Amino acid sequence: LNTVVLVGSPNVGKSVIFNYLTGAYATVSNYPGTTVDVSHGKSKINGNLYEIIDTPGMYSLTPFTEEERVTRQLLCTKKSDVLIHVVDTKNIRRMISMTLQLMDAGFPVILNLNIIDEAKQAGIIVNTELLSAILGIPVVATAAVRKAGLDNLKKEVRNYKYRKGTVFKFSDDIENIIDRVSSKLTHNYPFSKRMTALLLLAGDDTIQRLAATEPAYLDIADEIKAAAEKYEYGIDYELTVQRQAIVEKILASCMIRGKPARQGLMEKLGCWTRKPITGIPILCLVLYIGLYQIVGKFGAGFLVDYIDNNIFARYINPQIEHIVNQHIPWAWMQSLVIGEYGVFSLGFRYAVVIILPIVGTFFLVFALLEDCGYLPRLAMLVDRIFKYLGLNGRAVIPMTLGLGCGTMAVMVTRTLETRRERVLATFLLALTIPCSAQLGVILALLSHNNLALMLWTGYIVTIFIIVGWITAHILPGQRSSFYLEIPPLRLPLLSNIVTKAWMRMFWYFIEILPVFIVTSLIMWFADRSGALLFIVKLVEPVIRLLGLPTETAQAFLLGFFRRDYGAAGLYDMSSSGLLTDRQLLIAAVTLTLFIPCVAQLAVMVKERGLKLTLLMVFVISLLAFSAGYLMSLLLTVYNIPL
Amino acid sequence: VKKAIPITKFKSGDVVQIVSLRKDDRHLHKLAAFGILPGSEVEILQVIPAYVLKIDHTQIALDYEIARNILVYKQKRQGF
Repeated sequence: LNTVVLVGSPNVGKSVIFNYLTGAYATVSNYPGTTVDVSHGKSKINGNLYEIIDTPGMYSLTPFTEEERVTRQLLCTKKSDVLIHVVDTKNIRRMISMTLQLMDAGFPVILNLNIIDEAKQAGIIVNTELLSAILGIPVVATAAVRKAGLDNLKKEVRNYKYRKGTVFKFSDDIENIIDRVSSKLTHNYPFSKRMTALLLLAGDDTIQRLAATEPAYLDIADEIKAAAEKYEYGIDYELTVQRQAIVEKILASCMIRGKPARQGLMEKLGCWTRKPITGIPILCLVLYIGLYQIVGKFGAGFLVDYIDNNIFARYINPQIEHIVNQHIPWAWMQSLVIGEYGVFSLGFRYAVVIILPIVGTFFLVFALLEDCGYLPRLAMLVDRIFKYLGLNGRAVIPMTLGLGCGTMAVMVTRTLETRRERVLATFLLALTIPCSAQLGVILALLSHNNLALMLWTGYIVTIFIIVGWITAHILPGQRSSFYLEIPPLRLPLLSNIVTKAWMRMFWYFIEILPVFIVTSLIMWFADRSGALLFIVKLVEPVIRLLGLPTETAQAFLLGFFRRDYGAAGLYDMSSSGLLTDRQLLIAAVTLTLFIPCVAQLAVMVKERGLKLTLLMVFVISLLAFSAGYLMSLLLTVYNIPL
Repeated sequence: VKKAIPITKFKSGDVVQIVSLRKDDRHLHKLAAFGILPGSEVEILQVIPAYVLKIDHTQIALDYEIARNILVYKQKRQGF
């Protein structure tokens, strides 16, 4: 099986090409760094089967972030038959230097000039044939989103025969050093000897470890040391600068920079969303419409009601009850399906009626924002605020995604640069950020009382900031700086948004439905065996301290399996009039802060390790109940009527 | 000889040419990947709440901490 690997900077369209070649789906967006994992797929090109691999974006062969490390690792271990370097043509000047690196490394490179349509708009025209002749490798122009040129790309893959490509020399001094180092290399390396020498000079840890057992390692180390001292900025930077000079020379002969087309509406809008004077009102508008109106009112309000009353209560519930009563003679088994903790009434119905519409609408909104390129602007606008929390603007993506699904968000914390930031973000996600399902239910619960809703929002935001600030000061480690590419605002493709939202929803559903079912089974068993009563008794004193009815204890236990599940439990209690607004507010606060669902915990353990997760769980439980208690005290002391 | 000054001394709309970057900056290589290299021409699009620089057709947002390490000359040509 021949292997085709797609590499390139973030946000150049690798995933679009992957989707086209394989017919499978990899997340495509207008946000740098959305592919955090390697995707595999198969493609039939002219009768031959190929394995296609999509990689997280990387800017150069020397990795800086976790995603880049993932790609580098893959390039080191997986032998590719064709390596397609996808670049954004309008930024060709800064992208070709990685092509040169890949060629130096000895990879079978095809250069793919993608997004050629935007380049034309920007007045950039590249002579692909001439570029191909200069580089000595195939060059194909495409506009993947518009499906233009993709047949040519397929053709090049099918007809590909290994060509080394032109070797572009650095200055003589450097070439001499490269020669001296590479002549001493005797092991097998994942890259060509030339590239291995270059990476060694650049101080690459991974390669250095491989080379440490070379017989002539001491000589090599001396060479590297001497080279490092020779250049003011270090040899790595010197290589980068020289490589850029080579790129300029190449492009001088085959690229024309004409006048860009007039600023369109998208450019203007892109500018408005970026400047604080217009950007902050737009940000508020986006949050208000996106989160409150669409997810809160439409998803959690209208859709949940509609599905519950008009579909389930009218058609499905009676049907199931009828079947169960007809065919299952034993009461215990009836209750297993349709009882209070039944697999159907609790597990399936909650998942479909309450959770699905909320999560679905959230993912639609998120996909829209992602694809039009709004998120990096959001990151830039809130950077300063996030700095106070020991994070930077980049963290806005996992945080906002956390408003959709905390589990997914913890996975995306990988895009943050330092371990410290990843720990901070994971903690804040687990403590303060309610997922869309929980958020939706809480909005629905509190929306009839504006004061309660405002108090809840203000309280959670305050805790988010205070706890974030304190944690940032306790946790050791370096402060991180903010830098992010701001992509152009693009008119998103509706089909892409729907597919993406659908894929995420599907993933979510597949992941949660079993948890719901298992949870209802455990609850049913605990209820029947009396264990539930025992645990509830244990938690009751705490609950009573908060001034809540003891039934709330169950909602909290449910909340451990899924946070939203707990909120949904509150929803049921409030529907049957068991909670006053004051109690509702305290319960909502405590539950929002309480430990995340089982799935999020599992991902936390996987990403951050068991010890740290347990510590977080302990701190979070403590904080959640103290905050709830404090809220009830505040309400009493200030005598706030709800 | 003109003296190179930090890009943070300029205002939005200015077009500058990068002379060098402070050596001790640990972001040197990341910036290089964005095209922020000696010789590049950069337009400053905005400075608040973060710096947004335009290099060719790429817009990059940077915070003050990084931006102050970029040393530049002012270009004659005004921004478009």
